[in-house]
Amino acid sequence: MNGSTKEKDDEDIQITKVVFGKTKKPVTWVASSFDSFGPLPHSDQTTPFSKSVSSLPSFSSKKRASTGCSSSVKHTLPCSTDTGSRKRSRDADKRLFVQQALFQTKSSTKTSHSSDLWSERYRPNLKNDLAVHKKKVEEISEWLVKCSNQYAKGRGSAPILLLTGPPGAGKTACVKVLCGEQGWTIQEWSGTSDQAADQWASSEARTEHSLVDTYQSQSQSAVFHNFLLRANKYQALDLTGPSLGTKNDSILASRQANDKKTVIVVEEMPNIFYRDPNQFHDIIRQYKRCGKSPLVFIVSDSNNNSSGIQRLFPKDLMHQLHFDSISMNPVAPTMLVKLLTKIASAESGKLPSPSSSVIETIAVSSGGDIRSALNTLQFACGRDTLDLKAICVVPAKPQLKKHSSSTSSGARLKYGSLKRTGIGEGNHKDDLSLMLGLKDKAIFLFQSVGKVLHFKRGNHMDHQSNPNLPHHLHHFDRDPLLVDPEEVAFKSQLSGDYLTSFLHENYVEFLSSVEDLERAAQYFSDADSLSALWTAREELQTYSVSVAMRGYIHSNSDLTRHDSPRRNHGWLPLHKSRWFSASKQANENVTSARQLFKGYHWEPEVLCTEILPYINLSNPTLHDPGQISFVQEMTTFSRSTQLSRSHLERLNEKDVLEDAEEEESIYWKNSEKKDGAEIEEETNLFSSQSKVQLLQIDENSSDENVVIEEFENEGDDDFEDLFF
Amino acid sequence: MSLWVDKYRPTTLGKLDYHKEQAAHLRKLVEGGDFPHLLVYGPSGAGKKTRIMCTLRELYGPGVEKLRIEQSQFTTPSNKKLEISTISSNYHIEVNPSDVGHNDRVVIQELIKNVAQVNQLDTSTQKNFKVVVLTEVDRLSKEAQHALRRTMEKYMATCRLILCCNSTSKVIPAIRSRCLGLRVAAPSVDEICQILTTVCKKEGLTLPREMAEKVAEKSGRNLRRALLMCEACRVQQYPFNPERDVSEPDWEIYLRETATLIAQQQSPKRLLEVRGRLYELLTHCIPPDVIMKGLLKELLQVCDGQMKAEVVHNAAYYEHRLQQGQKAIYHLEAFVAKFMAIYKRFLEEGIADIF
Amino acid sequence: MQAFLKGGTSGPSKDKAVSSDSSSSSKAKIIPWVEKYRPKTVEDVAHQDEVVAVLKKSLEGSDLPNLLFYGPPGTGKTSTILAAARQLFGPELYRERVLELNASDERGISVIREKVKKFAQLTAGRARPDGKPCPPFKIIVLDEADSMTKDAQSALRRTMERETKTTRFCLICNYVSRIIEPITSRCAKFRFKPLDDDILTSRLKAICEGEGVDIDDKAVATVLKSSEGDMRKAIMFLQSASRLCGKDSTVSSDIILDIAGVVPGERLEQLIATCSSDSYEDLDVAIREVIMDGFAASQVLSQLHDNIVINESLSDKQKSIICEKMAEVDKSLMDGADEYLQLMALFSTIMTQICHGN
Repeated sequence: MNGSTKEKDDEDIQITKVVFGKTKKPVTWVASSFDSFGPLPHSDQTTPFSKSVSSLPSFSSKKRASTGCSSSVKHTLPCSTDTGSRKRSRDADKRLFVQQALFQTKSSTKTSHSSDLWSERYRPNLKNDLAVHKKKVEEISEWLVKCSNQYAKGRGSAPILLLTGPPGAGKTACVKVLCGEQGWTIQEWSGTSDQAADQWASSEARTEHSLVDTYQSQSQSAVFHNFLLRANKYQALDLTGPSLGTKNDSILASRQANDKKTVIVVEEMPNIFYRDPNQFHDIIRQYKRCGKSPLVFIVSDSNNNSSGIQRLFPKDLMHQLHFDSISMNPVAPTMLVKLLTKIASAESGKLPSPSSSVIETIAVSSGGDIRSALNTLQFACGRDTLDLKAICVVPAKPQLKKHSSSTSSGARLKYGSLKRTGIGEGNHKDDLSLMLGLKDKAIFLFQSVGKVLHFKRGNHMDHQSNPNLPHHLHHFDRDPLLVDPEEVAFKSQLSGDYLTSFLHENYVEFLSSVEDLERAAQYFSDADSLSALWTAREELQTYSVSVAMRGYIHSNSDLTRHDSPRRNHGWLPLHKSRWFSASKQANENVTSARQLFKGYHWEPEVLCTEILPYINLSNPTLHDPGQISFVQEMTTFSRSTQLSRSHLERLNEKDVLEDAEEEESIYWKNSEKKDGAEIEEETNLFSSQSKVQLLQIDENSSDENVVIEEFENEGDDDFEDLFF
Repeated sequence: MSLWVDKYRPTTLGKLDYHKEQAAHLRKLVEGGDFPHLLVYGPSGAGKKTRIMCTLRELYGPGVEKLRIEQSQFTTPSNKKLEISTISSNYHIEVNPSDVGHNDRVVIQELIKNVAQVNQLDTSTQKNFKVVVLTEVDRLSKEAQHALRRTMEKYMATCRLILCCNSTSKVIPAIRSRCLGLRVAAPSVDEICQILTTVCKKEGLTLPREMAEKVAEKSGRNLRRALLMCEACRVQQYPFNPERDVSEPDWEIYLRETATLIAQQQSPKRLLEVRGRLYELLTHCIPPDVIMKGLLKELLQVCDGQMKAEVVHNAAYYEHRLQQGQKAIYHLEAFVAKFMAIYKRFLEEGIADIF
Repeated sequence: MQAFLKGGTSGPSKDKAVSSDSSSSSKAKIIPWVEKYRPKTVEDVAHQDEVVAVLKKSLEGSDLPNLLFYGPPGTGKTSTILAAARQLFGPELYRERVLELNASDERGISVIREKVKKFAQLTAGRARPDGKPCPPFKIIVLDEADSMTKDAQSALRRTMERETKTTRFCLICNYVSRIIEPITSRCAKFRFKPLDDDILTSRLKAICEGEGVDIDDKAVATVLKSSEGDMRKAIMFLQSASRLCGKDSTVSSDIILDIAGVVPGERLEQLIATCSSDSYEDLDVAIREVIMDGFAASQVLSQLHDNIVINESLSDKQKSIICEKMAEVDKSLMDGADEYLQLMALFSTIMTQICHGN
């Protein structure tokens, strides 16, 4: 009972948090650490006004907490003296909340609820309510059971789970519900608020701040470290830091801990770890050694931090520490539709219920993000559906792209319906699409490249405006494209340079004749030449990508018509661009060559093309072992005919660029110089290396499965559709 | 034990084996006391550096041969630290400023300033200037070259520059006109033969005349390469056997194989294979222009007359782009694709003619 | 070695004296002939009659407009303005009245503005120390003005206007098209013509006499040819050649050619002859030889151009095709393309034109 009610409790607190902006994630910053002591005034979840107070930058409350002045604002540190009495009243509260929580899906009992966010109000409480794929729920559930068994046995190191998935896929909800059902207590690390405060303090008013706030001076990593170890030891934690000496609380907490199983959930990583993953790894290793409670990391892999994940949780570490890893997919549109319809009908008492087509559009446009879908729905219900149409903006094309690009699964529904209704009609229907709540999510690299490579053409007849080419140019005639390359490039949020290099790596397999190859290769060469002038490089970047993409598309003479038969090349895996690693390697080789053979002081070119090869031929024994092995390495060439593909890095669906910053630095570097020769060119590229997170093919096999699984789900075996 | 190239490098102007007239001129230049800035240019392996070192020795005596390899640090205006390795004696300092990429300007200015400000304290020589040797000047950025020009004038009193490059095409006229240009032509095949023979004699080996010619021929008038080849042959087969092939560097063989692959089949699949090989070459630090030239040389052998001109044009075209652009692979690949298309057309026409 | 031992073998003090001696003596030598034989007065300036006439007049009236000199290098632009300034201000005032700015290393806007401003603010008197009258302004010489950025040029425009009363500007550049319109309109423009061979010859001979250089007429002709009307280049070649030859030997035409990096005429003829053979292999060998001999492709190109244009065996159409390719190759070479490949491309074009052009 205790565990599960506490769970609901948490959620109610969360409701009070997220008021500003639907984009903000519900964050239970300090709440979870206090919930075992602090009663929550019932008034908490009342008017929007009071909520907005609570969602103020949390450092203010933290500050109050640390200075010890208890105030009327709810999340202050409770004094240990009145814990007992409060606890009793809190239990009562809890029971009440639970009741509400259980029934709120059926009807909204309180009028004040109408101003709540639906995404919070309809937070799932039962396993069956979860709109997550059954399999995934099962997986997490099994993991928890496994933990439970281990826990019961008493010994063994702490199991660690890494849960990834796009935002709004129901990761947190899933964990919470399942923990609730299985009777686990959740200890939650809440990083964001601390970070915000920290950053604020460092940039703006560090000095002023440090006078009153000893907490701030503690480094994030230290706080995190303390959190983990304390959470493990005492089961309850005190985020306000050791300086306060909350001994009593700790003792109390540890007493409670005896009859509770605790899961530690870490959702927001302290920023510092992205910069210095090693620190994080050390902490995790330490935890693995001495920790007992299961540890769950929930990380959303949006474009911005997917490679951050790979850095924070490198494969070797995960292997070493026996990490379990579950990756969630975006919620399937069908499920979303079901859910939305249910909620809409639940709300229909007070508000006009939107039509099913609107719901479907919302479901599609949310891109599998439940939270966003619910927010949109709530907004949509707030007005008449006619108004809703008014919000729609007419031009279909870009929107179409936005939808289709949002995620593969979400978009496929759209296309599924397109197929049923016929293409012409389908296009027309798109006009009704919502601008509203549209998830402006960027496409993953994998999809961007795929969309261009598997481009589609529309029917010529639909576009009367297309001028007929004169006879002698007839072979250049093509049906209009259904994909807008510039849009793809824009959406991918990559530098043109980078996107082009990935296209380049993969285009050859999509062409069948040498003439097409010749043309396409020429266009890639053109694209690179556009970047020759560094003063104009930035401006020309976009054109450069366009040239590469459209050049390839136009060169592909197999697909000039919308109904051209597609060559059945089946599923072609995409590969990562080798250029970056190759130039990095070359650069490293030059450097080591120069270091090892310092005494020869030749120019690098002479060293690599003449001296080293001949040293290898003449008498390598005269040099030290480092030199020998290097010379051998430099003079052995792989002659395998399969060299081209087999050992290549596969492009993973989720792979993205790491850091815009590093991109910048290449621009800058390149822009400064122009006259240099290859070696320097490569030096410049060197810095861009770190952005490519390389994964070996075998490690990727799990991701590949995911892709295929999705196909099965949709019952659609057209590979190309993955990209639309 | 060092390579023959280093072991038998002449150290004085008098010992130089070829271009003796030029050596005599250099000696007169040194004697005259009025030493201008020098711009030494010529193809790789023609002995530019050897000549420079000999001249320095003529200027300062054997002291210049006591070389130290050092790392010098420079700070750019944007506070970036640059490291560059220098080779120096008490009298001169040698740098390859293109090592630092686009920051070459800073390095040049700072370096020359440093050298020029530290007076020649060694009183054993009456030369009142130091020498800065800059290699690969043709790889310097235009900014750096302009800066160089200014620096040359400013510190004329205390330091002299010896610039070394493969071709003056890429050196701005302002620098060319301020230096005394010295063209070092590659030694002729005969001269190389002679040198090889003398070196072998010193090593106590007998080098048959035909063998020497073969090596000299194969080296493409590159003395350094000839010596390296000769030494490699010596290790692999002694006594020298003129019948046997001269051993080649692996990358050249690899490149030739790649060219054969291209000529054998023209298809997307083959292009991918070739691309893999190009990457392999690039990672082994073979400069893309060398790859391009190597490919061209091999590919031309399967072409005839008019087609050769077309292929050469394309090679020149893509090599130019390669120098300008960022990603050499695009252009190399475009060249290969182009060749495939041209060659395929040629083959198809050939077949059509037969029937 | 002898040179190295010539100086101080005895005590350090004497050593010092010797070295300072030698340095002063070598300093006399070190002055490049280009500086040494710069025209001292405006009248001395060779061949630029127009400019000289205008300047003379201005000198009489003790006033100068803002000036813009343009023309190919080595035609006396810098010499002219320096000589004019010297005449205006006399040797004492010269230093404080003339500011020479070399645009290629100090071309930032702020630098230009600051330096010019500082210098322009100093007041200038109407008299010279020796009592002669002199104009009450200063002269700022901006060398290589065409390498200034557009922004710097615009900044300069305002400065020019503001300082009209106290300062005259003299901009020197090779290409007038690279100077922004507002500036050119504020200046009196003078084009400097390439120098005639006669004038060059007489000057060179005079220098040779002054320096005691033994040179034959053929060598002088070679100097003229390889310097392409550029006086500075010609004098540099002369000095370099005399340095290389030493005091006692005659400067030959070969050594001039060698210093100038000129491809011997026969070599070029031979190349063109190879083109007519229609043998790609021969051409390949010939071009490799040229490169191995260290000739710069740009040099080959410029000489070849002269040859092609006057070549009578080619039709106009052929010439135009070849010249177009030349332009392309020249640009590519500037961009740093490989010399061998570019020359191959060029000569195979020529080969095609000669052998299959009709």
